[in-house]
Amino acid sequence: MSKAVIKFLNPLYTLKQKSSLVLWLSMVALCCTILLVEFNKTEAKFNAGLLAALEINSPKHQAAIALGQNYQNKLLLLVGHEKTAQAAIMAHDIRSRLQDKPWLESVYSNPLNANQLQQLVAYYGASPFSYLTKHQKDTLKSAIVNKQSQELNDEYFTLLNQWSDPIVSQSLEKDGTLTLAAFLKDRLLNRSASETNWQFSQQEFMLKSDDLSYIPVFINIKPSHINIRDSVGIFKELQAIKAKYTQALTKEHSATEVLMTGMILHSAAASIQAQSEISNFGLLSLIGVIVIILLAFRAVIPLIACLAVIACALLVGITALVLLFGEIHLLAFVFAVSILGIAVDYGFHVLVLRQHTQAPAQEIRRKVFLPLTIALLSTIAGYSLFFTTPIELLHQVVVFVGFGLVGAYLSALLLLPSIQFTSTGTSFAVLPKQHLAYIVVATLVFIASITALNFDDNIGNLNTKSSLLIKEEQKVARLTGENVYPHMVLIWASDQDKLLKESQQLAERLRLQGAVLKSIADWQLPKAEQLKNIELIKTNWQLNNYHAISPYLADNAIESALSQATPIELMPDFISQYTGVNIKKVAQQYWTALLLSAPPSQAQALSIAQAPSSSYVNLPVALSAQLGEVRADVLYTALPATLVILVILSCYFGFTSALVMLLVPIVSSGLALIISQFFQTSLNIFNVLACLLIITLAIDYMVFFRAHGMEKHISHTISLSALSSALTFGVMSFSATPAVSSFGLTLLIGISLAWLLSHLTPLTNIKK
Amino acid sequence: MKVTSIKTVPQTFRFVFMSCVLCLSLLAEAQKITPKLNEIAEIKPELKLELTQELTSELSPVKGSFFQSKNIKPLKRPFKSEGSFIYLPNKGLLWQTKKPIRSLKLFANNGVYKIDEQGKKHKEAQLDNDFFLALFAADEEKLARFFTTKKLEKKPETNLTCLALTPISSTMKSLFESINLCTTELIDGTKLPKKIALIEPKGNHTEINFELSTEPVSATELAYFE
Repeated sequence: MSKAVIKFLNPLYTLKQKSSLVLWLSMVALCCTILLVEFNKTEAKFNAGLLAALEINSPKHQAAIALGQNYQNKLLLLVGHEKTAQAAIMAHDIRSRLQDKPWLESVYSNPLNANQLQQLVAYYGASPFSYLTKHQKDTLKSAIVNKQSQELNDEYFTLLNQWSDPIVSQSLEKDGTLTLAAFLKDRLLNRSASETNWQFSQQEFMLKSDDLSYIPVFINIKPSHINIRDSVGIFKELQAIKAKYTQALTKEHSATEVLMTGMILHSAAASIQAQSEISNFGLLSLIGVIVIILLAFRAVIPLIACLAVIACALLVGITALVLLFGEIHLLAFVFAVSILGIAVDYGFHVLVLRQHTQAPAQEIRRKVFLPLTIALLSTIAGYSLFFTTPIELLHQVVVFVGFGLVGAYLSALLLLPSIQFTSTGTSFAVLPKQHLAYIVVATLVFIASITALNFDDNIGNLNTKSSLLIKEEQKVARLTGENVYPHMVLIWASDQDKLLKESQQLAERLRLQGAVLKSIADWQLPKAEQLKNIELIKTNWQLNNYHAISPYLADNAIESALSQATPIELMPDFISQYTGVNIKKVAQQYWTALLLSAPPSQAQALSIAQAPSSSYVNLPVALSAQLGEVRADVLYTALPATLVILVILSCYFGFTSALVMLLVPIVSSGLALIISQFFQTSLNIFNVLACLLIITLAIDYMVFFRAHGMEKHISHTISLSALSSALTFGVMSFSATPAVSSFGLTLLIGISLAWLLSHLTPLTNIKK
Repeated sequence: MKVTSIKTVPQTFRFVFMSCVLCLSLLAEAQKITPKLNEIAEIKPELKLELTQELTSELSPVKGSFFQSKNIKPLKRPFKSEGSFIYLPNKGLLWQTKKPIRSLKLFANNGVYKIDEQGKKHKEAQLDNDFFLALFAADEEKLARFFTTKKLEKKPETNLTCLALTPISSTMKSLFESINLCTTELIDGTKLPKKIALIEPKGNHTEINFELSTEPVSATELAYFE
């Protein structure tokens, strides 16, 4: 090491025991303070589910996600019973139980409830002639052409003649001509009845199966409660309610069931799974590491020291994560359990040296400084490659592991060299007979098998979804005749009126082709279209086509309404909440979506393709494609990174040596992929990402062997490192999340191979 | 001429005469029945047997006329309509408005149907009216599912039994504040509505008065219930 570097690092080497302890404690205290402050600020910062972890940069997908947010806070419970009345009582009971929940925005069973209807009437009543159904328009046009108002009057009297129609009663005050009532009836009742299985029976909005009647409970959650902690709470509360009714009625031998659907439930289930994995894997890893430390040192003090290093790594990692990310993904913690295995390595390096040399703290610090720094930098460099992916989850893993390792590194340097212990412990050293043939054979096997690698980037294979929730969703979809999560056709335009016009045209075309869909154009019309509708009513009025109706209305009612009629401006939130369709502004464009209940047919797909500025969005397919691209990008990034490492290693150890040193990590990771494929049907991006880590860890092993030779204590240290890393990553292979288990499995195999090949490959006799 | 032959002639004559009378009466009856069967055949041939059986079954359809008056606050004058109805217990209610518009609706157990000019039924997407059927049946047990019922004092001059019905569910409450149902009892104990008053929360008020008719129910009309 150059004199300048040694001089620069001199204060670190010469640090006294007290000063190093103070420094370490200051670091711990600072992190604790930051964490306390941050956690007190808010707890609504966590997220779960693999889809939530992927950051999609294209405006189209961002718009799709923004437009899909309407579904984020909605839940649907279907309460089924043999008797409709009993189902209605149960639904009423559930609504009452939920009524005072702090997270509840609204709960209802009848979408035509007085409040919602009042809101709709108030909004559209501002200009009741702006909106007309197709049938109304046809009637009005035919009245003008045929100079015959009979049909127009019949429609009016038919509506008025009904015994009790809440839509008619409520809208009459705003519009005596019942134009608005006819429009709302079409939108609220006729359309949903013709396209779905919803029906009104015994005054209840409901569904019927062969043996049960289902009353819905529509739940809207306050946006401020769409977070992991609350969603888990909501999920558990709903599960308890479901269990209560199912058990009680099963005892009575009544056929009953409560079905639940909603995006938030998947989030909650994923979060419960992740939380359980974090605690289980963390505990298993910790126990494993403790056993290894106790075996290696046969003393409690090194154990406490190692645990301090691990704790500090976790503390610094979490602090960095909380400070740098607005929303933390829980899966980041699952991946970051791996930090335990790497952090403890640093402790091993210092403690093994201490055990073998009994040198003073400053001397030990000086000796371990370089290998530890190289190990730290190479691991961080390896992890940093994750930044090249658009996956936010992996960015969080990098930050957590990177900063965590800095914490472990500083703890190992500041705290551990002063630890006093004399026990000899159990040696994990293995000194097999080395031969280049091993690495040559391994390389040949790797090359021969490389073509057999089979990658599948389908996001569906990576994400975990509760099978029970999926079954319930499928049943709800069958019952309602609607897809729980609709298929989206995106439409975009530079202004809202243009967007509405294009939505209207495409929706009409797709409906003619048999599509069942929801469109914003059913609820919001371009201004020009609204003016046309007003004009149509005006012409009919001028032609005296309302003569039979007029005697019932207040004097000059139609004339006065027509004089005030102007296009209605913007659609309020409550309508978009109710209908599920909305307009969002993303990347200087206005976006909306047609929500199809089934994937578009060939003819419909053609219409979508032919329409200007519209596209069918299949988010899972897009995400899968993106994952495939990321996988390719990672491989392309890994190649120059490997070359850079080759150059650096060549400078220190010579080209041939560096080549062999690199060959071991590359072949280990490659073979890990091939062996992983035996356990998985196909490989995915997380197997590839694991390879990057194998390379960074295996390079450490090679550097230590190359720098110190095939020494017993070096083999001991590397064996300890590999064992602890394999253990911590290995437990991840038991994860229920395929992404995590793929990552863990490949790492387990790769680290084992790297340990084996690093011991079998001769390095010291390779000349510079 | 033998006596026996004299005796035989009138007997033969009587036999022939009686047979002719019988045949004629059968013919006359057949002429009465044929149009009904023809009507049935026109509706749906496959239902012929079924309907014939039903015609002879114990169901006793009730036919009558109604006069409806709706007092709706925003309207300047009451909206009046009239027409006829057929109520078939356990089957439903056929509601035919004749003035000011002509419309035909069937309130069946499984929903409300609009019947077009060709006699084709179209299920209507609206609040179905199970409780209206319960109102027509004046079935207190069924009504108790929807309303709390209170018997009103009987007016001796009208001989009507009146019930004040208050909705239980919030959905019903949003439709009606209360319903007054006045029924009359037939000799066989069947209760029939005489007057229904529907009072809406906003004060709108609908009154329907019923008159029984002696006109028989045709097979065409009965066919709608199938």
